[in-house]
Amino acid sequence: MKIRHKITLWITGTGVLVSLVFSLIIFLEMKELPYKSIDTGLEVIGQILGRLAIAGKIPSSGRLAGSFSVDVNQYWIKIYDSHMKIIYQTQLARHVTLPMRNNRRAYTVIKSMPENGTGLGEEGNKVAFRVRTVYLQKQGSGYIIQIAKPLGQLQDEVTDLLQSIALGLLVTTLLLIFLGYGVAGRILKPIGVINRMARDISNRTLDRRIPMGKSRDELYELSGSLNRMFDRLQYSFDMQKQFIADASHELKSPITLLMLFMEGAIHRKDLPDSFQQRLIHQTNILRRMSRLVKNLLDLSALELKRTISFAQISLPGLLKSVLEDYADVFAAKRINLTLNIPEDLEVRGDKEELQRVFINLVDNAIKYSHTDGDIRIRAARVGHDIRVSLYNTGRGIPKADLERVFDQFYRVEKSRSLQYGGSGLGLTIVKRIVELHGGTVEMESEPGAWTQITITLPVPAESYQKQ
Amino acid sequence: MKILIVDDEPDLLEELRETFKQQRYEVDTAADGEEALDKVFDNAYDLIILDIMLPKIDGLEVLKETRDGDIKTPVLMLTARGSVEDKIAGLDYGADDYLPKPFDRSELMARVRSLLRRTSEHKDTLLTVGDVSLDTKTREVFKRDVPMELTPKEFSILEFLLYNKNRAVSRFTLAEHVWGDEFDPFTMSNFIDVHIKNLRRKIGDPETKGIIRTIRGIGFIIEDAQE
Repeated sequence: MKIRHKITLWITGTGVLVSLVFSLIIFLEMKELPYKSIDTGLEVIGQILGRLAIAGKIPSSGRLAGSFSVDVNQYWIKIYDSHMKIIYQTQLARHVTLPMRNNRRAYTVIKSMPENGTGLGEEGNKVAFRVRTVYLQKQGSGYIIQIAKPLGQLQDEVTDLLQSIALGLLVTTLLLIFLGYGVAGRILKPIGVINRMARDISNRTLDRRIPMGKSRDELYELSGSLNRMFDRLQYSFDMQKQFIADASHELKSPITLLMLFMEGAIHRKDLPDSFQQRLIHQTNILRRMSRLVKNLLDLSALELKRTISFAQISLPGLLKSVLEDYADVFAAKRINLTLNIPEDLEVRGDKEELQRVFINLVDNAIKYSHTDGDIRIRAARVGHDIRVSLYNTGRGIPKADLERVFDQFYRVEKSRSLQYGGSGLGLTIVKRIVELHGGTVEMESEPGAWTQITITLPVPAESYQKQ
Repeated sequence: MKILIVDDEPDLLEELRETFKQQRYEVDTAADGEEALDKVFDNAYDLIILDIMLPKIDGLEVLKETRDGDIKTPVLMLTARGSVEDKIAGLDYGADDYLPKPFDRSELMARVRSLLRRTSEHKDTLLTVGDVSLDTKTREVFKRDVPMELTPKEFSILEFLLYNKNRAVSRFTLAEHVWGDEFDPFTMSNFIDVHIKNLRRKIGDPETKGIIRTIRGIGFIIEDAQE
């Protein structure tokens, strides 16, 4: 779950809880409120009826006379004398039995309607009654007036109240979710920015840092911590690269020394043949080591490089100069070379480095292509890029290895190093140079059939402004 | 021929001294820039082999002061590889050639001979073996004074073998020399034989007992005619 959603949930949860408690208090307060007037009404009517009963003027008709114009048939009324004999009851009281509680306070009773004729709906219809018992004592005789009112209307009011509260809660919840989501987004926005920045800092752009905000808050601290981490990371990266550079450099003198000695020894006439053969073999191993050190140094120099010198270079010119050096090799291996490069295609970059890229690629293509094979070199502008692809027939590379061919010292088959030479750094160097130019390299292959490597270099900005 | 070798690595300095002594050169050595400058101004050398990275005074500074002191002795710089800046600076300061470390013995010898020849008194730019001669200045090859058409690679192979006359040169060294440092000599050395074959055909050289001889397991050699 995203933190934004969590924060939203927390805000909404606490908000809803507070609203709920608030609503509950309001509800409990409001619930008793409507009964007060009814209770008072019941009391008053009870008192009046009581007095009438005492005076022996129990109304025969449904209406109470006098200043009260109340239809008694709307009420459930029973009047008992001191012997608990019913001396008066309304129509409603005949049909419905309500329990009598020895209680001065009003209470609510819910009854099922026994039969039709109560005027309160169908049989079985549940009706709430507010019941009140009034005790009257006059001239030695006591009366008990039990008076009740069906509460149809009032129950509705309570339901209304509940509905309002529910609606209010719903609206509040929706509002809280909406606001919570917004607030969470607002809180998290700087984190998103920091995250994006941190993500964009790759091992190629380790010199970049997260900009520090103005307010010295927790996010400022976070940015600071991240930047300090990047400092340490960059330091150790640079240290490592510098170490490789220094180590390769230090290796050069002893290798030179050994080469001088070994080659001198090979030329000696006083050594047994078998020993000389071994010396030749060792010298070749030493030569490979020397090559490896050279490539390591090249690569570390490239790794430490952050920018390159750019110049406008004719791509067909560059490729042709490289291919010229291989002309005899193509002929000797009877390789069929196809070139498809527009004459006016130009790239922007470091000429020496790009030349190295193509030397490495052509070298690879020749190395891994069979005699009588095909090598096709194509270049074209595709949108804002220049795409150069080298295709060669040959044994190809298994799919699983395609991703790793650019890794340092990676070889598709370990045994290939002996057969084909090379240091295992050629493609790593190619990739690094292309990346320094802001481009990408891609390798495709059909095992047993062909291999194709494609370089994409961005077109210099001014050349498409020209068009 | 007197050569001054300047390098701060004692073992390498010793090995270089031995290598050149075997070739009957007179060798003097210096381990730092200060010593080098002292010796350069006190002696007349035919060639100076100068490492760029030196204690006290660095190689470029030594070169600069040498040239400022109007000493025109040819200088072969030993450079750190991959630093184009060093290369350019060296040539700007008046170095005659440069060789990146680590280098082959044959390559070093060829460069040294080439430099010595270029500045030698009689200005002999002609390298010869039997009836074949190669002019290093005009880049021409003659067979019994008849000019021949050679591809640049073939010329380069012949020239390198002639500079290392009477010494075997390995396929790898030859490949590295002909195609340069950027190329993988393991790829190229496979094709050296093809070039040698073409070269032999052009200069009318038989496979056996000819000018260019194949030495099994090592490479090739051009020797002075024995008869």
